[in-house]
Amino acid sequence: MRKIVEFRNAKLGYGKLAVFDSLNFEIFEGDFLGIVGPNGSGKTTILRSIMGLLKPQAGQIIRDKNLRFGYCMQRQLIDTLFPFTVFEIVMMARTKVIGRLRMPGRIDKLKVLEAIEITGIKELASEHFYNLSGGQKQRTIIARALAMEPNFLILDEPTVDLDVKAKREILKLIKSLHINQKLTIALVTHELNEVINYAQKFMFLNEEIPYKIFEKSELTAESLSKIFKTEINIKEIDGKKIII
Amino acid sequence: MLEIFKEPFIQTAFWGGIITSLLCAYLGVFVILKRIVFLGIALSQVAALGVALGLFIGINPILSAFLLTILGIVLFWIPFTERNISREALLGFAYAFCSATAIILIAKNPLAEAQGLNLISGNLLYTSWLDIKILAVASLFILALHLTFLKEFIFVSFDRETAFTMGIPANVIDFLLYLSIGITISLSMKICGIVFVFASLIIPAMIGLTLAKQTGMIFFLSCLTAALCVIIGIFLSYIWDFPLGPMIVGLYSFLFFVIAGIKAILRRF
Repeated sequence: MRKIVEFRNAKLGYGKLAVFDSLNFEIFEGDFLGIVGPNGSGKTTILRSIMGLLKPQAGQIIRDKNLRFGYCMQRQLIDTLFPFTVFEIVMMARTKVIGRLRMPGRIDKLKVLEAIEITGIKELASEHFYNLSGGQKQRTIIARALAMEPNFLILDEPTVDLDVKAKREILKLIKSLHINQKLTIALVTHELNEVINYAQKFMFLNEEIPYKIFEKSELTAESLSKIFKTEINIKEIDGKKIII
Repeated sequence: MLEIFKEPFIQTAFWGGIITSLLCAYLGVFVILKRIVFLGIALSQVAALGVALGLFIGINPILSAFLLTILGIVLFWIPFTERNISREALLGFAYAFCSATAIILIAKNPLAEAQGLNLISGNLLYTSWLDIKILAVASLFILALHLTFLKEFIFVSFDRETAFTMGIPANVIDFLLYLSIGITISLSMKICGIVFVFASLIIPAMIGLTLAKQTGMIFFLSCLTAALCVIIGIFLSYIWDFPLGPMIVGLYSFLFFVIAGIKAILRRF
C-alpha cells in the first residue's frame, strides 16, 4: 500500500493554543480510518491538517501530490436559510472545474447526477435542502464531496443526531464508497460503536494515550480497557462487534 | 405621470435612486443570507461618519466616506480573535462610535449642520450628475466583479469551510463581497442617506426571499421590487410633497407587509 499522508512530529494548534504537541502517524491508500474522541479533543483539527487547511506549527505533514479531497463538513453547520436545491448544492463542488464566467457544462451535470445517484437521492435532486431529513441532508453533503471526483473522502461526524436507521444507512453508504469507489476514508466520530464494524484502523484522541493508529485486530477488550482506563467488553452478534 | 420625469431634478433623483436601490437590493440578498445585517448597518454608519468627516475637514465627502468605509471593511474582515467579545459586539461598538462622532462633527460645523438631516434621510432631489456618474462607474465595477465571481460568492456565502477545502480562496472572496457592499454604501450615502441605503439593503431582499424559492428569482424579485418602489416613490413624493427617501422606504415596508400578510393568510387556508 502506498503512503499518502504522513505526520512527522507535527505540532498542531491555533495561534498560541497548541492542540497536539507531536503527532506521528501515517495514512495509506485505501485506508478506512476512524478518528474517535470526545467533543473538543481535536478531531476536526486533525481533519483540517490532513487536508492542508491547517499548517503545522512545528514538524511536518507530508501529502501525496495526487490527493484530491472530498470534504463532508458537519451537517448542522450548514445554514438552511439558503433556498438551494440538492442539485444546486452538489453542483457547487464543480465551481473550480467550471471556471469563471462559464455555466456548468454537460460533463459537470453528468458528474453531479452520477454523485446524486450513487448516494441514493436521485428523486430528491430538485428538492430544497431545508426540506430534507437529516439522513437525506447527509447524503447530499456526501454527493457534493463525490462530485469533486475525490480519491480521499473526509467526513466530520456524519452520523451525529441521526436516528438508528439513518445512521446505519449512512455508514453502509460510506462503506460501499470505500469498497466500490476505492476511496480512502477518514471519518470522525465521538462514538466508537458507530465505526468499529466499518473502519479498518482507529485513532483515539484521549490525553492518556499516545496518538497512534490501531489496526482493527489490535482492538481487544484488554487494549480498549487500557486506552480508555475503564473496563470495556466487546460482544459479537452475527459477526458484528458491540462495545459495552 | 410621465410629465414629472421631464424635470431635471427628478431625472437625477430617478437615476440616483434606481442605481442605488438596484445595487443595494442585489447585495442585500447576500447580506440577509449570510446573516450580516448588523455589518450592513455598521458600515452605513461608518460611511455616514466619512461624509461628516469630509464636510468637517473640507474634502470631498464621497471620497472620505469611501476611504473610511474601505478601512471599516478591512477591520471587520480581519479574523477576530478576542475570546471575550463577540464580532457583533464590535460591530455594535463601531455603530455607536461612528454615530456619536458623526453627530459631534456635524454639530461643530455650520456647513455640515445644515446638511445633518440629509445624512440620515438623504435628499435624492439634490443628486448631481457627477454623483450619478461616480455611482455608475462603481456599479460597472461591481457588476464585473459579480459576473466574474458569482459562483464563488454563492458557494462561500453558503458553506465557507467546504469552499475553502475545494481550493476557493474564501477569505479573498469574502473580502471582495464586503468590498462591493462597502463601495455601494459609501458612494450612495451622501445622496441617499442612511435610512434609504440601509432599507434598500434589507427590505427588497426580504420581499424576494418571501416570494421566491429559487435563488435566481430571489435576486430578480429583490431588484424588481426596489426599482418599482423608487419609480412609484418619486411620483407619490412629487404629488404629495413628501421627502423622497423616506417615501420609498415606506413603500418598501408597505409592500413587505402586504406580501407577508397575504402569504400568511394563504398558508392558513
